[in-house]
Amino acid sequence: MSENPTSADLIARLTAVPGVDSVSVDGDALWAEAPRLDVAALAAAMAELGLRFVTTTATPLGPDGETTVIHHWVSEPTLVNVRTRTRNGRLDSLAAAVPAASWAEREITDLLGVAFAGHPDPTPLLLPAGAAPGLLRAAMAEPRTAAPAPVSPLARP
Amino acid sequence: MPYTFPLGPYHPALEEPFKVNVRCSGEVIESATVEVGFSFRGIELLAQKRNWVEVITLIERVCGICSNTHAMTFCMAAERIAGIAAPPRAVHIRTVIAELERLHSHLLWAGIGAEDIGFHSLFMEIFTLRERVMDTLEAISGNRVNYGMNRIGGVHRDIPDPAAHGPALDALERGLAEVVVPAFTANPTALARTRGVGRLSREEAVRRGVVGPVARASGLDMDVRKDHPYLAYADLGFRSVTRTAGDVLARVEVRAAEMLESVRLVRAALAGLPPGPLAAVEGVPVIPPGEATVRTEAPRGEAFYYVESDGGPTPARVKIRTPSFVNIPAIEPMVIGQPLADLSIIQASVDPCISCTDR
Amino acid sequence: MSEVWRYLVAFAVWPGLLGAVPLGWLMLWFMRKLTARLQGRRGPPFLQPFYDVAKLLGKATVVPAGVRRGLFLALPVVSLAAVTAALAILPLPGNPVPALPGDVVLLLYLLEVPVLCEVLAGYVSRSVYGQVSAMREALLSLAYNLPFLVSIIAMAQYVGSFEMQALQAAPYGPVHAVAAAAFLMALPARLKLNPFSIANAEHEIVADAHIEYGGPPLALFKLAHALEIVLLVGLFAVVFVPVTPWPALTAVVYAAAGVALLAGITALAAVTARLRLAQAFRFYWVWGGCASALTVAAVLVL
Repeated sequence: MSENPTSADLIARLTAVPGVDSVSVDGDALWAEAPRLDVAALAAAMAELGLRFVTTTATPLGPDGETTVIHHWVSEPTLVNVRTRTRNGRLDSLAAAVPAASWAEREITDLLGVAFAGHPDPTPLLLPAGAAPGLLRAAMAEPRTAAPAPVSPLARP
Repeated sequence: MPYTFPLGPYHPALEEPFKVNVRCSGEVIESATVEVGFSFRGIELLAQKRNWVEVITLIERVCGICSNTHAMTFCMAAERIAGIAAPPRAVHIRTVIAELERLHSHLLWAGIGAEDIGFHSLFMEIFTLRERVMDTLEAISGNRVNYGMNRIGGVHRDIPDPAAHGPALDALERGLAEVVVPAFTANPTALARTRGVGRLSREEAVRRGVVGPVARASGLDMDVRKDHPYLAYADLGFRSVTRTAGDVLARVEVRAAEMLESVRLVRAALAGLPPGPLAAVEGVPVIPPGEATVRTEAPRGEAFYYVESDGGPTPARVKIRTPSFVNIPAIEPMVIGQPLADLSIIQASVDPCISCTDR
Repeated sequence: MSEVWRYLVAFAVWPGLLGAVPLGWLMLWFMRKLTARLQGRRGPPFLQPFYDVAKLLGKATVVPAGVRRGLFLALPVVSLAAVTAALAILPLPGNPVPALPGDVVLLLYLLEVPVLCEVLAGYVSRSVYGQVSAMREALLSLAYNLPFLVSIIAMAQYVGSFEMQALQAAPYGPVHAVAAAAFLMALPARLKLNPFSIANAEHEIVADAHIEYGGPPLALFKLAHALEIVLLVGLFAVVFVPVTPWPALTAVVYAAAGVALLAGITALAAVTARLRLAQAFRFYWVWGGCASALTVAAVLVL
């Protein structure tokens, strides 16, 4: 990790990953859109470039539907964000190739019910053993109403 | 005969509930698994149910020790989406709070580390010293734990008299140099418990993606303050600290040197406090649709926030990756082959923050 | 006074229970207060060790499921009785018991009983923490007993008698100093103080071997520990501190030696971290072994 790849290198290498449709630059961050991402190819490309895995963000698109999944990597000082999405609630696991992703994926399974195919340790992380996955999915996918003005819980009507 | 020894979820060596289950034969640890989730609160979900101002109060409660980091990083993400630049005075005040927070967090850690190796006197000394930092934070923000300093676009409170905090910083520097550092690096019994204990090799550190002092003690020179300077770190000339041994002693040394660097940064930030307003915007800000990823260096390492807005009154998604979330799994390779007696200090040496990890 | 009465008085009054328990509390308070002052704390009130025991005595006795009740409750009683019996044969000033041939050997055996009770208490508790603690205690006793036993037995060899009063009356010489050093080396581990507080390392194994004990049985263990402090300090004074022909003066000299000894080990405990079992073991077999060899050599040469 002595010398970090240049932004142009990163873009070229990311574009070459199967499934990546487009790469855009936003300040110090790169955003790759890859709805049909080849996760193993991404892991290989990132390992080759020497990037450090940061975490994975998942956002539910609906109570039962698909989930947007963003893998975040860092190549100082650039953040590389690769956005993909589940198909039938499933996605290939990154943890098989990137041990650092193990907990992030287990947490997403616990909270949002995404199944990561090929995860080396698919046990619940935050939930007790045997609990149904997707604890927060329904609540997170609810349409967000305008938050009321702050009210003290002690206030009387 | 091998036996299972649970450390936690409630144990004198832990500040917060988590569990390290180890299998031992005799006094030697053969395998370890870490279990978390005992203080899960669903903050990422709750953040979608609060407006942009209330969320700051919520996010500050992710962690009781690095509360400012979370509120500040969230505000920085919101500012980035909205294209707001915090004024220079606010940036400097944020730096002061962030570094004071690092000092109190590292001192808390050092005290607990001392207690875990049975060095009760050192624990007492360190916590006396930590009170000076807490007093300074209280003098500035009015609070000892959740400072409530951050708002989107700046800070809430000014530091009207920066010179008033000089004596506390002097006392702190003296205490660090005369008591804490010698006690950890020269006391033979303390050295016997930390040197060569709980090694994490550089390769394993890379593989596990560890961050912060744990990574720096394993020879990885990574620090967001240096790699991607934010706040006033570029102006103040931040210097990172690394060690290559990767053992508990190296983690102690890294944190000790960082505390001295933090004192210097606080002094420099206070001395060069620029004039000007405290916030760039007034009232409840409107955050336009957009998304942002922001990293800051929390006391335990890199904190990562992904914030998405759809222009509504609440954030559309707040993802929090705390440093402990990647550092805690690294306890497993650290403890294997080590004596059971060292389990406490090894798990403590990564400074696990459980409420951060569970959120 | 008949022989039996003498023993009963020695066991129950002085230097036994009635006298030694307050003395043990005083020593505990002194050590805790000194530790606190060294750490910049205020420290406990004078009666705190008494309050601790009184509070425990007021609690219910809980026997863990699956543990033999008789054994579980007998261990603290045996421990306390053994320490008290050992105190009763210690020729402290005012002890009514006459000289007993071979009482040094009896004393050494009685000294091992509390350790054995502690180990058994850990093993019968069915708690993994208690069992680890018991294992540590057992291994540690193998280590610290090397210099400890050698120091006392070498003195007996030097004096040519296994009688406590002969040891006490022996003319003071350089052998005393060498043997005392070996004894002092073992003392922190015997009293479970830093840097050898390995069997009661609460941050590693939650508590000591009495983890499953509470209420009155735990109070008895605590009392036995307080008496053990008196016993070991008294033993040191009797064997290694010069005796005077006047019992009152001897008492004062012993008291001064006791304060100095307690202050020394407390200060050592305050400035050290806890060692690992293997490190403590190595320390006792290497340095304790050297001290033992030196003691034996001194006895043979001088």
